[in-house]
Amino acid sequence: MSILVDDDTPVLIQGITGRTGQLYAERMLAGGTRLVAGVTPGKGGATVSGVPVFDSMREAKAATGATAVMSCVGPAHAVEGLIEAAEAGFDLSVVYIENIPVHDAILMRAYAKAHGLRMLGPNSAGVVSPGRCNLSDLNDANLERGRVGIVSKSGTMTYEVISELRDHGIGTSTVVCLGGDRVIGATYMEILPLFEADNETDAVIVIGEPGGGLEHEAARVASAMRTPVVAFIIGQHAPPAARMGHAGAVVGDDARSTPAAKVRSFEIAGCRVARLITEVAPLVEEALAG
Amino acid sequence: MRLLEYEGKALLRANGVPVPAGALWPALPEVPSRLGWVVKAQVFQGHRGQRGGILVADDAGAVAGLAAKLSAMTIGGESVKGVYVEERVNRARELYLAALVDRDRGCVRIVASADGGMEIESVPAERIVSVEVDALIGLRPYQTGLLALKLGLAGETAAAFRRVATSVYGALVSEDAELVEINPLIVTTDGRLVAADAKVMLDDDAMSRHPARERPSEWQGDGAFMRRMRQLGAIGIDMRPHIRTEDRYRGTIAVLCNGAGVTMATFDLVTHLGGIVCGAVELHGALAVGTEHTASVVEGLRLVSPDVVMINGFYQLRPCDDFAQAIVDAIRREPAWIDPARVVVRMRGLKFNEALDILESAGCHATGSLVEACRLAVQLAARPVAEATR
Repeated sequence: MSILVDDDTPVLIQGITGRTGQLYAERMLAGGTRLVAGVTPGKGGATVSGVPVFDSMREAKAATGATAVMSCVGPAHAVEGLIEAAEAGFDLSVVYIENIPVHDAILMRAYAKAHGLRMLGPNSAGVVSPGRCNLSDLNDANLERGRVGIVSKSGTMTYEVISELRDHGIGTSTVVCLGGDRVIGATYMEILPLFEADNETDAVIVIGEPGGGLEHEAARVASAMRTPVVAFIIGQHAPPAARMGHAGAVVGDDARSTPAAKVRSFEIAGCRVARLITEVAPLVEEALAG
Repeated sequence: MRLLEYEGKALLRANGVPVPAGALWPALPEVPSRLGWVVKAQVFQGHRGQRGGILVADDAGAVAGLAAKLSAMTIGGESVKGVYVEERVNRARELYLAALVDRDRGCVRIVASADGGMEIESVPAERIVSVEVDALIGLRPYQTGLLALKLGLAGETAAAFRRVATSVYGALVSEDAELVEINPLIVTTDGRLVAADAKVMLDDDAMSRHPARERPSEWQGDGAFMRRMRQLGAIGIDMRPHIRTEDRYRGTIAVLCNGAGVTMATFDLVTHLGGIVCGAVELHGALAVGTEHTASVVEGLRLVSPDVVMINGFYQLRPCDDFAQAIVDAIRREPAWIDPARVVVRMRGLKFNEALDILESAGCHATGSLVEACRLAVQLAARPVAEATR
């Protein structure tokens, strides 16, 4: 198994006729992802790489049974796209657009939650179960199927961690990017129990950063897990109040938002904690060795 | 971004929250004040009252002298950005009221306390009451009623408080603010509610939705480097003010990366290895705009005067040869600002070998290993400029 997405997950691309949408369609088909539909209002009846295009999310769902959405719409349509997906009854949507105003993100989160849609993002690099289903901007060629799960706020940092793991001969079961914005849909707390229940995940890496306090919740959940959790907290040297690239990665007045406080929470939870990228793979090896 | 008190109050007033009559000196409020005037230094620092930044003038004649004194002041290292003059009000009680984005809960939270006038962090938790707002239905009357009740308000004061709370929530959402804090919210001796202070943080990501808004003071305070990065749509972090005194004369490194996480982790690694970072930039999708634009972002690093430039670009699906070209173009821009031999590039992505060729034939150091690149950057920064020149 894997979590969230698998071989048989029927996938839809929102905005499939756009440049990004077409690119993702080609990649998904080449990589074996079960892409069944695309949506672009006004382009219903067309096809992209042989995939049928529909005018609305409802029509696409009814015709193809798609459950997971990769949103490739422009920033101006991000909110409406998410609302349409939630309203049409989809289970999962990846929103990779960043710089979405925070009150829009709050509205998207509330609406998704009310309709049982699991939203990854905004500003999420997506979710991928290597070799099975790829709703992310990760290159299939850089991925290897394995038994380590990753849940991360940062897309690019996830690239680095995967590359380090591969250098140590370690592959991944599922990689979940939550997004680096201040307000996001799914949180660590929601994803960790899925990894805990997955019989193909033997260890989980939690990648955290400065700002907010979601990592503390994650540490609390991790402390009760049988699956070992390795935390990697970046931004150890981030100056206070500076926006470290991610809108969400700001050390505030709140001491809980600092990387140091997050490291402590995971240590108290009994987890191995990495502060530098070079420490991650060796700690995962330790965790896997038991 | 943070607003100054007077900017915050203008925003509150526009959203129906009662604020004292006030004006930015040398202007004076147009209404007469029976109780005299409060003259307030406009700074971002907290505790300005305790630091002598708030003075009281009994009559209009005394305002000018006090305002001149305040405008020449420095509070907590910050020069005073203006002086705000406002009518003095009689206070019967001081409350606390804030609307804010609760990141961890992913919603707006309204926070109130009967203990206004002090830092909310020092108010005991049991004296603070808060409600979460569901964005789908907004702040509900039962919630404002509950807040008023817990604050011990009744009658006309409770009704006025509920109106203010609703307006503050409305201001937070319609102005795209992350925080609207009123501390204290004054109950006057004649039972009115007035916002005596205002702390407002606006959402940087929503600025384009408010084109009429004046450029906030916080941005005007930015240095040349931060201004340039903002202008180019990249995210800059000026680390020069954070460099410790004992490190002032050591060689510095400017870090530029694609992606926020990688920027932070590269920063961590360089610092861990003993490097002094003078500035960091997250490209923030610059490459998608074009090679020339990317070159301009890279060249922007000249504004933090680095001794060494360390670039880390990790791409999944993007060819990195155009990024390499952008780096070389930036280095060659006039006037000369960095020796290619003091530029270290770590890159991953498609067309890696082509990128390597472009960088190496321009005299830069290029590698696929992050650790190797950081080590080299730190070593180069430890050596005087002349010695590293080929």
